[in-house]
Amino acid sequence: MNGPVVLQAALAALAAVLLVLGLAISGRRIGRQAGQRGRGALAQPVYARLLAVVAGEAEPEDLAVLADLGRVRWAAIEGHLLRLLRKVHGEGRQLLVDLLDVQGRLTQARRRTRAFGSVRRARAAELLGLAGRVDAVPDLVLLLTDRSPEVRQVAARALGRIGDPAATPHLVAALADRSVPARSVAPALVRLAPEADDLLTAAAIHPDRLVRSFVVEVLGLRGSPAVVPVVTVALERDPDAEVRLRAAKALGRIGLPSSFRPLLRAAHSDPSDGVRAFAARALGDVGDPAAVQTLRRLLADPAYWVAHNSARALARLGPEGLTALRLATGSRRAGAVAHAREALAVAHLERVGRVDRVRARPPTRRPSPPRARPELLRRGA
Amino acid sequence: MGALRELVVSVLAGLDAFVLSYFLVLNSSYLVLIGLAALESTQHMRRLWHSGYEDMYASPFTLPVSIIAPAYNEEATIVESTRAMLGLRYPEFEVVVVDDGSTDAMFDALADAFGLVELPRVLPRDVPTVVQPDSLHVPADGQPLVVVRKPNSGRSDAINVGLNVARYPLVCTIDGDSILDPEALLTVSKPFADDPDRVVAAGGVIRAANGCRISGGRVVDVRLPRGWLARIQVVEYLRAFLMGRAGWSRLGALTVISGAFSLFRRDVLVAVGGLDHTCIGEDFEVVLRIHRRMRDLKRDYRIVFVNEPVAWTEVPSTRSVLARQRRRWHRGLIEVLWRHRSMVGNPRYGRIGLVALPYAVAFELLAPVVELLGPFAVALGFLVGAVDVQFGLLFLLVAVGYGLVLSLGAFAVEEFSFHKYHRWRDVGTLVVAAFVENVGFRQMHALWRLQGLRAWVRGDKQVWGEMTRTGFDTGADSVASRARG
Repeated sequence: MNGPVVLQAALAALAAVLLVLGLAISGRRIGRQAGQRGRGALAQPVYARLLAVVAGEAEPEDLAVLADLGRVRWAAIEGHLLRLLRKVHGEGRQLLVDLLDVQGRLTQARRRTRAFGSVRRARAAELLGLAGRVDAVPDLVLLLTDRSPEVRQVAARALGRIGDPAATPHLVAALADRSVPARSVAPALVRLAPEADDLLTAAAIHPDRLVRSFVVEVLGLRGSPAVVPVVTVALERDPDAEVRLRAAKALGRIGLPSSFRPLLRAAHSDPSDGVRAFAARALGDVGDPAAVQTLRRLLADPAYWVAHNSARALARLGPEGLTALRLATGSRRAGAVAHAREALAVAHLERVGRVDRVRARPPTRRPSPPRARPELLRRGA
Repeated sequence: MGALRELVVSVLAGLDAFVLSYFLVLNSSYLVLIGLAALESTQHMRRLWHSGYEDMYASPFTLPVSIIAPAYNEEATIVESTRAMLGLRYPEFEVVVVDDGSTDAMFDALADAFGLVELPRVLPRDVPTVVQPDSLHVPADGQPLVVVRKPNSGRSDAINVGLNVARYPLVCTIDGDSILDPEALLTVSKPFADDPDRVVAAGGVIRAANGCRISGGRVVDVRLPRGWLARIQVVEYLRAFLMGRAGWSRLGALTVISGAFSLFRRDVLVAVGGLDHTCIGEDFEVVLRIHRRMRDLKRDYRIVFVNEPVAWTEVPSTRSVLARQRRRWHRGLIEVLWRHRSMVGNPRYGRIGLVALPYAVAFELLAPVVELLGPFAVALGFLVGAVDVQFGLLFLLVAVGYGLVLSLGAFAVEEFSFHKYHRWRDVGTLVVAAFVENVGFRQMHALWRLQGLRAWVRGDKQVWGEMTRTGFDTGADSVASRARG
């Protein structure tokens, strides 16, 4: 075969590909527009009823109509319902979940947690989590060991949304074996019901450093004063600096006076600059003016963040802290002077900003009286 | 005489065969990259519903971000783009605008719009900088904005100054005149949440804002620009970001993330010493430096591209400004490749050393040489009879046709996934722009890039040049300003 023949064939092939691409682009556009019009027309008559459900103003007739929607009309409205489900709380939300249940979507989702395609399994897990179905917890726990990392991650999030403490050991195990990213597991652990505290406290002495570091931070975010002793032990004795750092953060967040001494010791003498910086910041959160002397000394610390956080913490310790900062501006140590000046300027700005915000705040509105609770949806209503 | 003619004919025939093979391999590699990008886009769209952005937004574990926006004489757009940055949907972030010694009223515009007051702040010296900040300013009402004033020292040094100001573990660098989609930060930071141990940098898509309607710091109506030069760049950006970024990211060999919208782990950027202010292709250079460091330390790491969030930026609308920009880009490319020549073909650097960088040398650095040599060799071949006229014309048609297929392929991926351009008229305009790109623009572009190459060979002084910005179309009269391009 000679050159021109090859090129002619290539040209014909290219023309065919161009034609196919042109048709595909046009077809896609036409299909999308027609689909949007069709779905809009189907959803329009029932959309107002859906909004009434969300607003808590649905009449029994609205619920009955939505529950009895046929497959085609339901498909047109389901996307709207799922979007609303992410945004609403309370009774309207529960009614949306009931509608999904009546339409068989939740049973289907539980079945689909065993589907072949990973996208299907992930979508099913997402829906079950959104619906907050406690009966789906065993299915979701199984998905924590799914072959797809994406499905495992969605399952962890879904378990967090449901909040069943029974999921705690499974989520901790997922954290330990790195099968789900720590930043996806940790928020799920924060959302679990208060009964999970005991299991989480036990995990604070887990042999794995990643588990310990995230669990102590989770305990801080959950905010229960009962966990303070365990977090304090982590701050004082854990060999890993990351765990101690997060423990300091957690103690500051909980803010109990009993955390003062351990935080003071950490800010003063922990071998890690990061831990000392976080401990200094946490002392500001705890707010005990007894920290003033230590923090003032730390203003001249060669580690930038230790000095910076100490200055900011002093500004939060009331008149004693502010006085210490003013005194430090006359110090002979240039670093301490600069950090103190910055903290004083920020404190001034915050004070002015607070006053401005209070002045700018609109008058509070009286809450409207509660509406009568609509009749709950019943299967086959 | 006959022997000499024989020799010339055989040399030209060989040259033509080389040019033909070069185009075939180049365009076919583009096709493969578009295929990979299509796969990536499809998977991305299928996963959108359960991608967990809402949870990420509500999570206390989402890493906070410092957005660093260097700006020079951006009076026309700075308030709008800063408002857009402050309005981004993200749990915790700060915006650091670095005023790189502007000579217009940019700082005054910011001070008026946000009620700035000076703050005596102590900065860590994590990365070395050429100049020190003159002053730092923050809004009195506590908005998370810091405006740094400093003498002019260039974009890279301005980012390094911003890096010292930045407080958070992730830093996002964007151009002062860019407009980000509201979800952009959430989406581009997701790889850091999904794979926190390995992801060190991520880049997003840049699109042309020319012609788009902007309101409240948001692109509210995506439209094509009025001029053909800008329209061609729309096609170019579509193709380049799909092939050059999404495709390479899929292969795990991404070497460029655009400086106009990229996200880095702060500690990694600090560890490599920030951006190199002596290099004109600083975004490419810093990514290569990160690759080099990570590979040298034998670290398991990833640099990824996320194809959903979009940063909108004004592209040059005149030939002279575009020419300057492309000369600078090409000069930047060769400068960086020369600086990191020890990585090219070096198995120590894995896919980067063995695939991405040799590809950059063969098909990006040398492309303008071959693109201009090709038509010249074919014409000479006609004259001496080394090339059959019919063959030459057919080859030309195939080259243009292949280029069109690539552009339309990229547009098809866009249409099937993001479909930002809604009007039917846009389809026709983009097809015409794709054609014009292949039969005039491409050759002109090759010439500009060749000039960039020549400037590097001659060691000409690096210049950024001036770029006329018209400001965004906000429905009001546009304001003209001069800004560094």
